[in-house]
Amino acid sequence: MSAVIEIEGLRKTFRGPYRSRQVAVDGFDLLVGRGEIHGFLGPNGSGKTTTLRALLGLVRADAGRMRLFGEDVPRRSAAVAGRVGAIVETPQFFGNFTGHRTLRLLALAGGVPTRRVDEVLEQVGLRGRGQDEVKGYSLGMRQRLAVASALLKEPELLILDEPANGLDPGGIREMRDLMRDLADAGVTVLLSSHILGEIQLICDHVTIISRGRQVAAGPVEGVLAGHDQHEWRVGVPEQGRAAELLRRAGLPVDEHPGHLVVGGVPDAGEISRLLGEQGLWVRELMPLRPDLESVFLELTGDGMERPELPGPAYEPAPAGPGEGRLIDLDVTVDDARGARA
Amino acid sequence: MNLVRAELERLAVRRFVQLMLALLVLAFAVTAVTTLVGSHRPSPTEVAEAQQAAAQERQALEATYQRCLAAVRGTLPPEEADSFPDDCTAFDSAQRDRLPVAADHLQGVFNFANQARPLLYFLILFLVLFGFLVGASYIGADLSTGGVVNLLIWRPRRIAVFGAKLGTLLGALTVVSVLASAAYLGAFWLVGQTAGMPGVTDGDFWPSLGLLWARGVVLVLFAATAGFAIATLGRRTAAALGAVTAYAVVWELGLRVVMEVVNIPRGEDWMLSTYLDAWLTGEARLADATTCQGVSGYCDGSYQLGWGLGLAVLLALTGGLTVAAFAAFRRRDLI
Repeated sequence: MSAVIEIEGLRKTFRGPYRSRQVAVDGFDLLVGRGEIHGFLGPNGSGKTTTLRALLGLVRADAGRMRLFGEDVPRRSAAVAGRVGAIVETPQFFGNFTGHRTLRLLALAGGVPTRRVDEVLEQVGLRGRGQDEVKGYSLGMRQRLAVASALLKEPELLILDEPANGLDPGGIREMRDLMRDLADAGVTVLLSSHILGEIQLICDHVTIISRGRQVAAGPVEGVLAGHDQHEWRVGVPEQGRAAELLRRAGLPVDEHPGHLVVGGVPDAGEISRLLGEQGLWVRELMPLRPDLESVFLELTGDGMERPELPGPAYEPAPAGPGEGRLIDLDVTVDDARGARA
Repeated sequence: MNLVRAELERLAVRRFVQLMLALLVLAFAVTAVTTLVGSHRPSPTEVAEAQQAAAQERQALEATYQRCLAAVRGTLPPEEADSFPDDCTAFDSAQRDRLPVAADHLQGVFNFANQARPLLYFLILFLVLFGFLVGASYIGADLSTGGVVNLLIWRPRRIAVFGAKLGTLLGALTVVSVLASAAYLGAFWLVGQTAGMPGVTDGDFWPSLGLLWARGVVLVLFAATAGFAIATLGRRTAAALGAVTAYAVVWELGLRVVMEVVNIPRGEDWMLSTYLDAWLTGEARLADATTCQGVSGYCDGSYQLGWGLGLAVLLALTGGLTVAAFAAFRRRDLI
């Protein structure tokens, strides 16, 4: 798969007052292949937006190499600008312009046929509000307008910085569907978002940035698998005795009301064998896989101790081959899948 | 070309621009209507009386000049001769820009030829203010709201985008200035024709007025460019307004007072207003009291700065600001 975005060793330092310096991006790498929906994650101030701005030629990089469609940018930005649609942070528009006029002026400036304006307004669900002034738009509608502006050029690459900002759940779902449609049509999407659940749902690849550096990259499943602690939720009678037994076997065990969390066991059969040999029959055995949020928090230094209860950060995962045999089912595979969705 | 069209449309539909245009039309309408209401066509009797009064005034001027010459020759009593200088040029009617005419003595009669220059100065002043504010807000609002970022994502050629914006602004202002001038002077010419007096508009009148107008339009373009450049350097409209206010208070007022207190020779040479005056009027006539120190007898201490120097200073200032703005915009991080 050919690369659409290549960033190697990007470095950007901002100078502040009194000769202070702040390193925003520190040797960051990013690789986005054609046709991917690529999630770009990082905490506030990690360098996400600076990276996107550097890629679009809005800030000047101190070092590193960036390419779009194989062309060096920003030196050759003009050559590829027609193939890239982008919004960076929440774009501001003139309040007294209508949505239609806002897009029309951009289309004119970019040499795009103005008939595209109505098409993209339709695409983002603003067709009926195109003649209203932007100052009457909600935050979500402005966000849709921004996405519409990025779509005007029928781009091959769409760079979206927090496109779900201000959208209600219905709007978020529409945005997700829109991105899937675009990806199906062959558009590569680089999606920066704080809504990790959305990223996990929509993206096939992910790059995580922290303190200006890449801390993880690859297919979403691969990144999650790389941080799998092989933990299991175990429901068993005589919980205290079972915990002691497993600890004696060298396994880390956390006790929780009604269940144990046992780590470091790739094969669930090992747990049921150890307990079964002592007459303790497991009634619940479910793998706990990390989700993107837990991986994100762990990698970005904002990681917390494992939560007391398996909650949003650790959620049950569906059984995979050779693991996750559910015994004495209180939780079914479908339940687990439902929890994930 | 598409970029210029888009920028022209963006400029035309800006609320601030529309507001300023409305104010322009309103100010013109109020001035024209007030003039129309306050003027009337003079009766033959009024004209005759005004002509007589003007003739008497001219005679009085000539008599004063002759008395001055007599004082210089020593044929005037000493107590009367003391009130005249050794050089009578200042009283010579032939040396005056203009002699009293009948129109000066017609009350409530608008005279187009007499009033055209002051009216044009008012128009230029308004257009200069209009140009500066529109120039500053046009780029300032775009920079502070992210409009420029949107545009650069579409057209990642900073110099071309910046140049298109400035070019569009100056082109639009030139058109507005031409149209506003034609409408404004045309309205007052009609008032003069129908409810006042057209005055003497032959000979040098129209070329002289045209030259003043051309200089005024150039000044409008200088002001717009300066506003645009300062707002770019300061990243917002308020930067341009602040810079001009600070200059006016600190330099034109504060420094002027300091220079007068410490008696610095030709202090006016340090003021931008001097060069604006020189450019617009063709020649700045200035007084320097320090040149008369130690001089006994008559000394007016005056000197002149020509329009060429005025133009050079304005070009250097505006050019410097523009180059600095282009350089800053080309290299600046847009965050």
